[in-house]
Amino acid sequence: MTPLQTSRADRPWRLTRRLVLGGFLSLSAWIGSAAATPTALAAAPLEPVYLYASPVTAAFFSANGASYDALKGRWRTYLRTFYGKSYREVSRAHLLAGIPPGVLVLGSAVLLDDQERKAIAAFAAAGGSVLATWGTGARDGKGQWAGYGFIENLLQMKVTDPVTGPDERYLNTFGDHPLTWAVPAGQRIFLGDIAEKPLHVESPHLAARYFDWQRMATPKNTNGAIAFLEKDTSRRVYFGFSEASWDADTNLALPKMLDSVMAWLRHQPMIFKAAWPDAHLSAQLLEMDTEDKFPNAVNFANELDAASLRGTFYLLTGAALAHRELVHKLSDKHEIGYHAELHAGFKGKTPASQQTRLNTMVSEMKDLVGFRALPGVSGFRAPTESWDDTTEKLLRKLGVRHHVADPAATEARLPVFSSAEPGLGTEEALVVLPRTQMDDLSYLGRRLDPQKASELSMLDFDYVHEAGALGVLSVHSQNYASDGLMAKLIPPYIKRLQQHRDKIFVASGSDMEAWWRARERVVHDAFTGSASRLSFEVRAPGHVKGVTFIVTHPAPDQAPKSVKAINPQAPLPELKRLDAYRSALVFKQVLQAGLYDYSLAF
Amino acid sequence: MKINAPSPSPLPFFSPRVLLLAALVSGVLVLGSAVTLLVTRVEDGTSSVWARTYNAVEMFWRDTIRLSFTNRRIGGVAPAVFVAPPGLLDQKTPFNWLDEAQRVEPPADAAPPPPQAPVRLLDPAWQPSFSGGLQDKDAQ
Repeated sequence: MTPLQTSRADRPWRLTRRLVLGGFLSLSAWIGSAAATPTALAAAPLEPVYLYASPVTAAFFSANGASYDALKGRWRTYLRTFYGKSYREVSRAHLLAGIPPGVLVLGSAVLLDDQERKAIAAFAAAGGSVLATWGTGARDGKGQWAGYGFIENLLQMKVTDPVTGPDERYLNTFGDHPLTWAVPAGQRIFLGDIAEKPLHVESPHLAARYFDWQRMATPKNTNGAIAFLEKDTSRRVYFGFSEASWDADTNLALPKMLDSVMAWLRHQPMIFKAAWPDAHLSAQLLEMDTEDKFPNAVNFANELDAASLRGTFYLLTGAALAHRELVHKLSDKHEIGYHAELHAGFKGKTPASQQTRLNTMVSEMKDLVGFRALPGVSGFRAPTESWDDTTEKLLRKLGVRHHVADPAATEARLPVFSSAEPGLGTEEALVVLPRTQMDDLSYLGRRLDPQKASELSMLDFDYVHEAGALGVLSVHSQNYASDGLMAKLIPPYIKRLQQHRDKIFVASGSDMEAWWRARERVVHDAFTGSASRLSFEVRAPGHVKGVTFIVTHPAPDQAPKSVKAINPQAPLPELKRLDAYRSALVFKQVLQAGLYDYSLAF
Repeated sequence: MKINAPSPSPLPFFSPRVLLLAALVSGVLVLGSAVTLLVTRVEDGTSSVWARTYNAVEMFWRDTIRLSFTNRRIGGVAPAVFVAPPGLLDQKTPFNWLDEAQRVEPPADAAPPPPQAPVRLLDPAWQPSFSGGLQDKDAQ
């Protein structure tokens, strides 16, 4: 063959080689580009939100002297004003004809006929998300009682009974939870005293409970308020309270909660700053008001030492002066704080009288611990929990940085910054640690036998840590004799604490205060951007260690696969699975002031 | 008995001699307890008794001096001393009376809002007659 003939014979092979090489190169480029950019989510967030206009419910309300619009109208207000994205009101005909997957809101749709029930079930089976409230489906299309089977089957839960206790009117949401993270842990949301009594539910998947104002621990199967379920690709949420309760929420916590609930129902992953460091899910402070029968402090200290826990002893300095050696012994391993100079409250007293007392208190503490150690004494607990804005202002000027306050100090179960001096920044303001758990006086006042008291304390523990809250266990020295009730209750409590130590941030008052201040330096907006990008700022003075961001999953166990820093010099967080619905990004390093930017791949 | 003899003091316990004796005893107690506490090296029940004694006597002297030299007329009350309003038991003393807004009784709870759903909506025993009455024009 001539060279020309050879060349012509090779053309098919050369072409084939070129095609193969070209395909290989383009495939490589495609793989490379996919790796360099955040991968698309397995499923885009569901759109839109459907608000179902149940005609038979509306007719029934009208026939019985009420207006269904009064309840449904609140959804319209929320969706237009707060939600801000598109929503549609769907009629019965649309529902029966079938609507594409989205989020279907059944707001107190008490009457549902058989066709509607089937259509809703089909919608959910096709991957649609459902949010039902109150007595949805409790009556059939003729208004006859049908029971709660419809919502019980939809969410695999049990409706137990209506809330009948006159005081059990507070919704308490779980903090850092996939559904309710937008509201602080244990936020007390008032539901009002209304005719539409909220319903209790029992479910293995809860996001909120009902309590009275004091959060008295009632049995676990009696107080579920918000339940959720993920079945196949369908997400469902149930609120036990009707829309009539929304008017009582004057702090507007419910719209914030609805934002995070909607994000979960839409399978939209979200990233938010966690309350606690190092992927801890709740926190605990163990403290003693050390006053009368001062030497009993040794008993409490021994319990803490045996468990390698650091507690805080707030000393009545007038009493402490007679026990100097004990004070020095306590200060070796535990924090020492102020509990005033004598056991009298401060609230309502004139600034001059408060100043005189606090000066005496500091003077006595200086006498106890010495001049050099005095700046380390930075915590305060008011006798009888009696304090006011004047007390806080004076304490801050005396170098106090935190105080343990009464349950009325906050509506949530998290630390807050004092509002006594609104112009102060968070580096200067007092940190207020609210005592939202029962203290020894609560247990003693109820005159329970040790067994019952122990059960109550365990329930109290469980509720605090389920809600991702700050638990402050407060005991008094006069009630801590070695043969007293508290000496029996505290060891099991500490044992339960040790069993969950990896999830609970156990710290002294000053460490709790230091963390809360450091956390506040990290600025992040959870509702800006997407879950594939984490951008935040650490404000001066920086030095934040352990800050954690929680990422909600678009599907069970669909955690982010990787996280990359946009700036190669930036520290990388550790990615840690928390449960099927959440993962944590933990910055174990110390973050200095600056901007941080990361991309996440799901 | 002499006609012009002075009548006996109705309060013999507050004679200067008694007051002087009380001052001497409390002085001995406070000094003694202070010295005892200073030299005591062991924290035990006895030292706590001395400590309480010292604190009580010290507080007695502080309050005695403060109350003795404090002007207790209206406007001059020491801030840390809580006394009843002067003239409380005098019918003629003018006071600022409480008006209706300051009544001690707590106001009655505001009436709960009217029901927005039929009152017995979630009462299983309520089985009203209702035809269905679909209003939706698309209803089939």
